[in-house]
Amino acid sequence: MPCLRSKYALRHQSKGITNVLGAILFVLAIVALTSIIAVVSIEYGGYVRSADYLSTVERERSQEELLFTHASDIDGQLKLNITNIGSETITLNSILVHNKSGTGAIEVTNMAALPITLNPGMVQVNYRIPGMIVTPATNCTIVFVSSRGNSFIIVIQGLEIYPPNPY
Amino acid sequence: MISMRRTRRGVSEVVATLALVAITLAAMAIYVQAFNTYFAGETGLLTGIFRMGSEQNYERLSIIYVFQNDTRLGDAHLYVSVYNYGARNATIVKIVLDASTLEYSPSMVRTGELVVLKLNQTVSVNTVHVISIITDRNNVISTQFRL
Repeated sequence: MPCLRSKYALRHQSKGITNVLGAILFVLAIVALTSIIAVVSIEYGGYVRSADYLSTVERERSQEELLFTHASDIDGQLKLNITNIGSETITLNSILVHNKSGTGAIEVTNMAALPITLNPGMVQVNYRIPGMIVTPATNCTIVFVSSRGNSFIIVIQGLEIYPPNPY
Repeated sequence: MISMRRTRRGVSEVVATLALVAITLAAMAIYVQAFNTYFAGETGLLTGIFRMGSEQNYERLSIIYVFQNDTRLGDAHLYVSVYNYGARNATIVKIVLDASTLEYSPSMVRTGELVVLKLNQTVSVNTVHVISIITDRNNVISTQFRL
């Protein structure tokens, strides 16, 4: 019995952190670990969302297709029929006109305030490019830029549109 | 012994609970604030990689058109039109043309904006050239062109 008592006393005299301090350290460790896991999860989730955004944008972008046909050029006003022959809704919000005659001026018309939106199969009839006058001597390249960064190029030369209507 | 314990001074249980709740809330607020401050700036390696990858994915540029003045004119330049169709404003920091880096001061292309970059460079006609645009998020947009 005396032997047992001395062992018990020894156990109680052993030095170490208190129960309270141990509990606090444990809680801190748990909080820190949870925080790290939460942050990595959030950042990884953000990355997955951005990758999904990227693949969606590029897929939709690859399915944009337009057909331009010459409507009329009465009074020097070039009028175009623009048909969406792709499978995605197309929003045209910029036009770049490169006048290749003379010094070769390049002009950008931003249509963001009034874009052309074409659903699949829809036709924009008699579209007139703002400020564009054509003559038999006109030699210019017109680039329509969609909101997804696709460019649709036509060339106006001698009142004809190139490439010609394939249909 | 019992009388001694009963006469001991201290806060009541209600006050102690309120104090504990207040201390916990204050500690949590300090922790969350410090946490946000830390992760708003430079982050750790793993989270930094994810964040940089996300920002790169959201930044999308497209080279629309390349054009050059008549080289017989004294003031000939190469013009490159670039459109930003991504969800982030992009800053172009470097342009590489046929394996040589051009002098270019950084410029921003905002989301949904079409800009024409004027380069102090001309290229030979009827030859295929390669142009690459490098952004500050280290995205590289390259295209081939022939004038």
